[in-house]
Amino acid sequence: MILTIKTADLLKDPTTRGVFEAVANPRTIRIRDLRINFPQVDLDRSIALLKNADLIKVEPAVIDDFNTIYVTATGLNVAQAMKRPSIKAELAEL
Amino acid sequence: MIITEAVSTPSSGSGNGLPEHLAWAIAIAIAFSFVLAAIEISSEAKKPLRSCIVASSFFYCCLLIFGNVVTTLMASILVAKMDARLAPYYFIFAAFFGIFAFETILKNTNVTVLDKGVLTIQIWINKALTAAAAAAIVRDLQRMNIQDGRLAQKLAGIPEIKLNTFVALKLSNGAPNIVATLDATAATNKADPRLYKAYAIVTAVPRDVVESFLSNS
Repeated sequence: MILTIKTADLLKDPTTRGVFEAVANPRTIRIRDLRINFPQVDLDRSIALLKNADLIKVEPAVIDDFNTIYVTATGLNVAQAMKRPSIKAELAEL
Repeated sequence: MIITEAVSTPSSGSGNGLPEHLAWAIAIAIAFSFVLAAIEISSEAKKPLRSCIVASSFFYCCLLIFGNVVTTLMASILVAKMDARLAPYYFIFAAFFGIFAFETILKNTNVTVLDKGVLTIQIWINKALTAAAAAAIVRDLQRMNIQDGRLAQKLAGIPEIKLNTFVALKLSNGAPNIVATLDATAATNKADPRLYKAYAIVTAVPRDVVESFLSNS
């Protein structure tokens, strides 16, 4: 899969890309664990952007911090594409 | 049947060992496709096999079965040209070479004409695999939710003072008034405060810790 312009634009932002990778690698993660990994980051903004792009979804829990974020089929395709050396290099340069 | 005729011709030098075993070769190819699909979906989703039994997995499995059976049938024609002394084992060779051909050649085939995909088997299979993996991830979350629900019900049954102690011990990190906060939220939502706190616990605390607490209560 080749990244769409919209997705590539989104993943140009290193924070959003980092958040996406943190979700896509384990496939599911709790928001609390994301906050531990990205303490200085506006996580809600990144999550909202990734959700709008249909790369991730959020499964709500009683406490917001324990909501589970999981990667969608589109997200899995993007994560696979990001592993390609050409795309990896391109994203790293941005 | 063309294949049967092809393998039965005297020029093949195979005798008629293969037609008898063609069904076995296909059976091996189908069984292997199931095993392969299970391994690939589970590894792509990074979830246990139990979560991978979803409708999308069935479609992926069908694709693999179709590909592996077709290449096994094709391989059976070539296998028939092998030494006649190997005839009793033709079905194994046919299945092996057929699956090998599909996994190494056809699965990685992308034929495009003027940038338009004509025979993009690799893309079809990748799409089916990621769809199956994504469905397995959702199924795993649903399974976890069901297990959490059962555990929360059990936890809600213990004396409230014990439950509050457990909540305070396990969830107070960064939220000192967690018991009061959860009670207030439950009241606002007209929810059962014990069940609400129990759900808060099971979503936040590892399952084995909750189970060990329950067994000691």
